[in-house]
Amino acid sequence: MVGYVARRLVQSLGVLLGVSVIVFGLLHLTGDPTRLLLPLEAREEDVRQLRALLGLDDPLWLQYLRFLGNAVRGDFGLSFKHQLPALTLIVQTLPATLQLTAAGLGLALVVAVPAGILAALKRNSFVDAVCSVGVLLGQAMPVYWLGLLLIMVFAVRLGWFPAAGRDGWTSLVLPATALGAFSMARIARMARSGMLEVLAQDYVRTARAAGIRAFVVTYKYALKNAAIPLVTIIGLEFGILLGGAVITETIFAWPGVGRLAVDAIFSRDYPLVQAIVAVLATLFVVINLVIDLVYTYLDPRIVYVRGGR
Amino acid sequence: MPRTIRSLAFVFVLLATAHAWAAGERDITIAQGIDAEFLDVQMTNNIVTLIINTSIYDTLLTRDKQLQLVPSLATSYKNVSEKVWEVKLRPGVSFHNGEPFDANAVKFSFERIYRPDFKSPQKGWFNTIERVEIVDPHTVRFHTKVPDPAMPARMTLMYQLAPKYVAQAGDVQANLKPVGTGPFKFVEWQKNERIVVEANDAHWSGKPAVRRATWRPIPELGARIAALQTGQADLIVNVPPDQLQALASTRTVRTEKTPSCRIIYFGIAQIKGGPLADRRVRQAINHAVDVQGILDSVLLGNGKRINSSMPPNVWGYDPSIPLYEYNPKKARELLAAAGQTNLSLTLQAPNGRWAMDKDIAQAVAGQLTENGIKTNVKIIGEWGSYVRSVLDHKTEDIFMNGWCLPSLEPDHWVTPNLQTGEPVSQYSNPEVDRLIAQARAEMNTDKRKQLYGQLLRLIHDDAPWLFGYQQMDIYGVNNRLKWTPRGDESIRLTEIVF
Repeated sequence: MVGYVARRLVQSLGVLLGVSVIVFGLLHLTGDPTRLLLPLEAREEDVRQLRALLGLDDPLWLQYLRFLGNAVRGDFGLSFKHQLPALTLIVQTLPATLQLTAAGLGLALVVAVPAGILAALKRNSFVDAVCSVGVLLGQAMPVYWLGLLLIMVFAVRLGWFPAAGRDGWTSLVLPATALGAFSMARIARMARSGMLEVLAQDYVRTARAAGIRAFVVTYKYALKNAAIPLVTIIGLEFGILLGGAVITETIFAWPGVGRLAVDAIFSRDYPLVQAIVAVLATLFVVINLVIDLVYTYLDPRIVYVRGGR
Repeated sequence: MPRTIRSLAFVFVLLATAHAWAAGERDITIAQGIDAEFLDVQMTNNIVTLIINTSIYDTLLTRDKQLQLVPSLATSYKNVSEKVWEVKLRPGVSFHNGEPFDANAVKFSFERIYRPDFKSPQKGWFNTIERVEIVDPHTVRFHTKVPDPAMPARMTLMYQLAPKYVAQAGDVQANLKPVGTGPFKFVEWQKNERIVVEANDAHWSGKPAVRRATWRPIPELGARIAALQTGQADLIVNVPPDQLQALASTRTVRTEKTPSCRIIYFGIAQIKGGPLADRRVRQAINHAVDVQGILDSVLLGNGKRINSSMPPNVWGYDPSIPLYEYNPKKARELLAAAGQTNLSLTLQAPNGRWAMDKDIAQAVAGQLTENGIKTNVKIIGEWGSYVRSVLDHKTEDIFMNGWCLPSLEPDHWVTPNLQTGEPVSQYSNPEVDRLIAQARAEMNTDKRKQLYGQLLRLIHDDAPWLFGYQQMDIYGVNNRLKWTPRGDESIRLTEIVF
């Protein structure tokens, strides 16, 4: 197990290195950031001076090695735009994004898992139909549209929640709902199909025949086995939500890392974009590693050994 | 009995006032599209960021509501010689940390911008100044490299920083915990969330009516409007004309608008040569577009046509210059005279930079096409790429642009946009260059005004742009605020009362 984790960590380093090369290359392809940092009327001389100050005159490979050398020591450099350490800016904004993502995913799970199970148990019933329509709507509605709709109804008309910003738990409800809606639909669909598959298994029929209570059969035997694909999707979903938070954060003026990333991309703030990608990629890799380890708890038959699973 | 009623009324008013003060009813929230880039005011040239900083820092001179120059930290100024400006400083002023404001602070604040390792985008604002001389603790002299009549306008951008504080705290802290002499003191900055300032009752201009102000960045327009409607924000910026109706239905809010210093124009890339180098073609473009009609239909009348390259808010403006008449027949005649009856052009525009920019560009191209100049629209949504095409002088035949600089100095409208070789200019005319240089150095205000009149008329006739319009700045305001907007896009907290 320890060997497996160590191997996965080494592989993850390779992934992160690859990501850093791609992002570095793509960023430099987008053009010179000094033009955007200076006023439109700035003279060529000012542009040259700033470019030298930012170290953009050096060859690309040297800039990359410098970035990499500093990054392994946790120094992603100063954000061009904010003139603050890129990591400091991320540390300031990441908690808001994690809070929103966790709330969105939490909400999705609380609604979607019971709904999916119910739909599976009451297959082809009215409840199943309602759940299917909900899934369809959740997947079809763009976050942008849903977000504005939620603001219009629950903030402007009903006045229950604030329209924007991050002031206490009430301000979390609307963005978390908007963000979680898509995942909710996907998780519900997955829970339903997973449960249907497990409920058709021989051991479930045997358990039922043995007179074990329906509740125990459903939630102890069936759900635990249906949970494996569900856990996989939750891990991926967390990554998707981290990315999806960009739009939600913009609509609801949520001060997270997504908005920081969008601003950084538009202003060609190389150090900040690189730092954000590195942090989010690390987070994604770690979450997926954790998910893989959770499998062993859910299904003791899964054992990680040398040379494969 | 009447006496009792009067007394009761008095007590009631007193209680109501006390309540208002106690319950934070004099606290306000302003929602803008973006967060401040810096609270180290010398690190920015961004208008939204400057607006926020103006509550914390004072400048040497400032502009009143009518945009006239008035004293701020400088009480008077005069020319000692053509290249020396003597400025008297306001005595008894302290920074928020108690440090006194004096001539040393002025010298320090100027020199800091030009420190080689300091990445200030304001270097271009003061590049005519050679040095600052301290005459006495309350008098400084600015020595300029050339005669510079724009010095008073430059002084409206000279934000004053506390020398000892900045030296001790360092640049990073000076940005995170700004200290100025302004009417509001810094309280808190949560990145992308809020900036909070509180009234500085010791300010030289008196106690502000607003006790505490929160600046909130709400990028999404729908959310910004909702924040105003729900009372979460008291003042919002950049309300597009098509939302005026929606806001009118909310009883607690109103809209305020004013013609802005920002002009929107369509530059014609004359330096590319070809048909666009012919003045008749450029004039034909101006006659072929019904700018007023477009303003009425797309912006619902929220815009004012411009006759040349300056808005009326800038003192060099000359109202006697006529507007181009919408005359398709004349346009076709001019094109025929220039031998360009089969002209095909491309017009580039951004998306979302200025109110309804893309729609306006499409309307302009539609009319040009209708009137004999086949015009395609190329939308460049990403602002960085757009800027690069302009600064590299690689624009399409016609490019949309917006312009307003906080100095409100006439030279800053013509030099960057129209002088040969300047970054934004896609135009070259030796006569225009000569007049620009002459006006820039003329120390006599009347003569200078005359020169700008001459210059603007020449620009009008030579048509380097399809002359567009002065943008209308539209704000949404909670009715509890007594406030009207300024024409320089700024929001001064000291101008807000209840």
